[in-house]
Amino acid sequence: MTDTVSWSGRSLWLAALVILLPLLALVGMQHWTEDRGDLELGCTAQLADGEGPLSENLALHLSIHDGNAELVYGVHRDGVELGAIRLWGTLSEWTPASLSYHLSLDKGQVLMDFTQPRLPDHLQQVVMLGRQPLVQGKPLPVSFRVLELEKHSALVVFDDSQALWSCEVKKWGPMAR
Amino acid sequence: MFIGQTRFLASSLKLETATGEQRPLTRVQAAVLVMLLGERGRVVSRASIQAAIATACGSELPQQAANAAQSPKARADSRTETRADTRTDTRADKSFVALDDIMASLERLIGADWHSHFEVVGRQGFILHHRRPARRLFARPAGELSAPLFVGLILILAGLLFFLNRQLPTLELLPFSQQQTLTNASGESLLWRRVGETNTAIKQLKAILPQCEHQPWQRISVSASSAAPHPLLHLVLEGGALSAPQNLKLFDIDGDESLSLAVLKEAGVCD
Repeated sequence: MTDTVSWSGRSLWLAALVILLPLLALVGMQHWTEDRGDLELGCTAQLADGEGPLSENLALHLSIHDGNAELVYGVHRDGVELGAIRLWGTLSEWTPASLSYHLSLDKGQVLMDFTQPRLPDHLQQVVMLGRQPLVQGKPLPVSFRVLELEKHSALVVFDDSQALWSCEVKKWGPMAR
Repeated sequence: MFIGQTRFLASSLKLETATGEQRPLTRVQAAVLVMLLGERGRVVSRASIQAAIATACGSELPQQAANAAQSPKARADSRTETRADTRTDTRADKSFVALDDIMASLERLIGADWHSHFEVVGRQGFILHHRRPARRLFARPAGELSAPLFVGLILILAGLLFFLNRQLPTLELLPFSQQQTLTNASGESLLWRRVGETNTAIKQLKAILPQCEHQPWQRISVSASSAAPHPLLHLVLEGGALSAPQNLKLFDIDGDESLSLAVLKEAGVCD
């Protein structure tokens, strides 16, 4: 016997809903997480040159909260911050799948310990490099990717400088406060 | 008793459609329906149906059963010739064909309700389902759906996949440009990972690391900043006595002989 039955309209709507709803939820989740790329990283690094370790350390603090981004890069000696650069702006884009973050930093400050006669050389050079776009009224673009993420640490690389950092993860994800 | 919206009137041997139209049944057709409705939801063997027909119609079988499938005029014409043949032919083969003909005649009478409730179970028998069987989406989609609808659904799904592919970024795998195991003279191994391009300092570092007498780290990730403010070698040392990974930034090591085993020992990269 030939079967000429076709689906009723109700069954088709049901099938379409079963297919469409999870897909729409997925896209919605993607957009929701795009808006909530909150993150806080704290990183420290030992400095050394061709003759051995230096007495200064580097410290990097990076936080993103509700689309606002702040980056503090400083030089320390014996637990005292000799100087630091603070840049802030917005999270212009982030890609959850590849954990890529693009910051647009349009404001900046140089912080220096009052007892220091001048900024450490390394920091002075970073200031000269970073201030150029800001002086011209443009934001400083900073992009980085999280290469590895473990429970309390993340391996991060900055795209322009290829600077590699292992950082302590202080806050992560949409629920970070 | 209903088959879908078609009502079987057993007392008058008639079918009443949803529109109220009444259609007469032969005794054979009625006997088959009574049997199937009595065992509704279960497989009824061909033999059982034949027995039911024989009980209901006596010696007229199976030829009358075959006649049930014919047009009324043909049925009338052939009725006079039936009785002599029925007793001598091979009953099994004829009855098999006759049963299928009876079912076909019922299908013509009942229409859509019949083939949405009725099922042929191979050569064993038949089932009359209580309700319309559930559609099997993945069993025979092309057969269940009309062709334009099936093509339309496929196109919609393809469009959705294309849309999602554009919307959802793909995961970037293998972020390391190079990854390999380095082993020193005492057999200690170290996972070497490089991010980005290599340079002289990175090549020197990779050549020196196997010379370490003792390797305090299990994994070293390395990258180089060649641009301003000044060349810098970034090292992330993991898996040592300290549980947390250590960052080390090496300055002024872009010269040919700037990196040495002594420098790495001083910096704590190797013992």
